[in-house]
Amino acid sequence: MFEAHYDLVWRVLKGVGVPDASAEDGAQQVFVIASRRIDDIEPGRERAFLCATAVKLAAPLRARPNHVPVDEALEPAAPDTPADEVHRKQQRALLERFLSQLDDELRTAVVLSELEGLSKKEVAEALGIPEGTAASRLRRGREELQAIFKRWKAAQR
Amino acid sequence: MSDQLPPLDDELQGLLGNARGQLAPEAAKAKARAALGLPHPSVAAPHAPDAPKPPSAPAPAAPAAAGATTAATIIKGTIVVALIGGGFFAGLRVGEDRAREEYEKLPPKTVTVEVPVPSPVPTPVVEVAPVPTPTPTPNVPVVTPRPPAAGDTLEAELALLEPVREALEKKDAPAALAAVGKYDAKFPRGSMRTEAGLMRLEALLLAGKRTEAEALAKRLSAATDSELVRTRIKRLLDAP
Repeated sequence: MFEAHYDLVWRVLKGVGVPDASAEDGAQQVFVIASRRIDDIEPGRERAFLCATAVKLAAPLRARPNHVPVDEALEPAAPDTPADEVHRKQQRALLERFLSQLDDELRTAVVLSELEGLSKKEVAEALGIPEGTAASRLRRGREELQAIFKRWKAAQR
Repeated sequence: MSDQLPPLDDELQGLLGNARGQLAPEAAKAKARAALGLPHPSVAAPHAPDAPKPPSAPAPAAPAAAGATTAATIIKGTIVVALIGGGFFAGLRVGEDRAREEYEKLPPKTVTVEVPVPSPVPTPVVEVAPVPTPTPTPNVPVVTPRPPAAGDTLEAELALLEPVREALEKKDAPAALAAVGKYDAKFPRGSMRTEAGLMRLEALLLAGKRTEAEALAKRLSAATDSELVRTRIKRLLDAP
């Protein structure tokens, strides 16, 4: 489970706004919890369990604007970083900027669905909310994300 | 599910696609493996579906957390970590120092029988049998799991820290300090103590109590061996 899902857990933590410095600790803690609750995890539901745990753990670890603002993706790349990697970093930083403008609830739903590919049902399960609520958050999250992107695009012209 | 959802611009889809492929830093993963007592995938158990094929050479012992033995086994493709002695908190930075000290004071309830495996048979992974009455068997370390430790209260701790976070987001320093006070009162040795300390630090700075904040920052820095925590402290102190 660790090797298969560590990246996912780390991405979820980062995706919902946990800075690098805490994502590492948070991911580790997620697997400690998973190891303790191994009997509660149904086969095939590992991703949902890990995502749910990561989301719960993320709440107090999220970056707060103007307080812990430094993110690895936003820092300038080292001079010897390959161009492709620089581009990918810039893209991630841009996405992070868009996501950070979403409400936490919408952001979490968007990250789980759009980044990690969880189904609506899995998102609902991971967040402990009804499926209808998950669907609503996903729809609103996408709408807002698209609107944020459009505003950014317009500002570029 | 996407077919029922509002469409996203192609460029935005591209950004999401790029982020989907992001991998955690290998160093972070390696540290987590070490803290959890898991072997590197190149020396993982032969039956682990997530792991590569069995090693051709004898596997080294799983990296143990400082000052303790940590063992892991893989059951049905999922990891089980047996936390022995002081291994759990020694390997964790999140719920670190004092909890670790207290945990290490507990008498060990572990019986571990370690019999050298004859060469050249590899030792793919440390096997753990969490049975109530240990029955030592050659080549199989038998472990009785310890009673639940502080981390079992994690959800309760997080619930108490959530109001702190909300108050900080609203820049309401008095409310944040009051809320973190509640956490400290209930979980003076909680596993999120370091995080609570960082939140208190942030609240103190927000309240303009610089001297008090700097004193707390010193205590937090001295109490942790995590460079990441020290970095966060510095960032908080340096923030405008």
